[in-house]
Amino acid sequence: MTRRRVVLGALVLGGYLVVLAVTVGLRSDHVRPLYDGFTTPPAYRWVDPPAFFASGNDAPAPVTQAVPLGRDGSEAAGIATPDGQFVLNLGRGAIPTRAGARRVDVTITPVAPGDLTRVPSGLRANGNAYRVVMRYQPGGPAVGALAHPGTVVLEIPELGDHLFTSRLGRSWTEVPATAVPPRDLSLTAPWSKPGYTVGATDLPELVAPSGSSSHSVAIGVGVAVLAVLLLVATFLLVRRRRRSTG
Amino acid sequence: MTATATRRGASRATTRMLVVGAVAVAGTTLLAARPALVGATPVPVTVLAVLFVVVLVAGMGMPLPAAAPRPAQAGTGRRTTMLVTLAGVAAFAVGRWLVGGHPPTTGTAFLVMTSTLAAVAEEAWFRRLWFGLLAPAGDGIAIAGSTLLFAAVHVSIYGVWVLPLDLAAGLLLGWQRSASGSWLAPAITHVAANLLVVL
Repeated sequence: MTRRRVVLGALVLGGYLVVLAVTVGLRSDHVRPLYDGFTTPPAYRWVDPPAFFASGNDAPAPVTQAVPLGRDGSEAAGIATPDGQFVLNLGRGAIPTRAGARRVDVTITPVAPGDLTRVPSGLRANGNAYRVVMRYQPGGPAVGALAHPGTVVLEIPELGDHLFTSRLGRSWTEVPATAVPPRDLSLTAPWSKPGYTVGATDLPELVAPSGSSSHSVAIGVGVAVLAVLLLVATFLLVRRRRRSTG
Repeated sequence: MTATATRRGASRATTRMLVVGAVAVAGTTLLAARPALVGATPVPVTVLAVLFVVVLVAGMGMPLPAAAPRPAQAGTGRRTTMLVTLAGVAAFAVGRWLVGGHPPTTGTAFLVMTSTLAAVAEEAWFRRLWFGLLAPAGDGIAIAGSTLLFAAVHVSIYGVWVLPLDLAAGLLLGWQRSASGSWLAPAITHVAANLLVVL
């Protein structure tokens, strides 16, 4: 290898690390050393999928389940969305009794986090938010809080161990959560109040937001023009060189 | 060989290069328009896999024009390939350490396989096919051109903010291609860079 190539290599390697350091400094989230082609959709059902994954997405469904009430409160119950992405485990007596009520209807609805206030601390929502509503039946009011906390298991599309809850989806409270091994793509945490629950991550967007990917055809045309110009420039340069030498 | 036969041979070579150029432009356009492409199908992973296999096969198999003459002392041996590969892998390893944090998702066998396919296919496309198409104008233009296209096709997926980083990474991979004389070094480096991200 020539000395010139070695110097050029050192400059290119150093330049790459400088650009990476600047990018890391400018971004509040994690940066990858290289962004390349194969971005596969995670096995996750989105309410509002990133545009890149929209076509292969199966929308998640809500669930309503009745939990019988006894003399000491609700019976032990596990309520899960049909895809298992949100599971609520309630111990015996978790929901307090109420005069005249025989059961509590628990409804879990997947919600697009974009319809709620953004999660704080520079994080972004990691998958769907889930709204849990509990109503005493027959005809009673909503349950305000549990007598004994239950446990939530929330599936997330990307790694990140932040979990937030909110009564109305207007302000968030972080709840200590644990990632479930070996995949770490589920979070478990204590759960004590009906309302909204959402996971969060500090990773950058999985793919560009829908605004920029909808321009992908325009970008494709731009790249095609650039590619043709490069080929034409190369052809003209080579022809000129040949003419000047021969 | 008669003048007519020479002319016919040159004309055939020109036609062949026009076809290769058209395939290169079409494939690069498809890579850039991936969000629209996968958006039009209910099986995006299959479409992406097929696209990358096609890119890999075409990138490896397309005939290339004769490159500009290289300096006699330019090393293209196994030792040079090994050295530039090690230098590139080391740069991406330092980069991985610099960005810190955790991987974007758990490193499954599927993820390792697909990221490796993407890495090798992109290197066959940009550092073999595109570099080879532009090389008659000189290595500088081949490095710059292949880097520009490599970075540009990722804008539609990740956004404009990855452009400087992918340009810098593309220059590194292009330098490896130029210094080693083959696309093996950037391919190994790109695979290693992806594994460093997901593992």
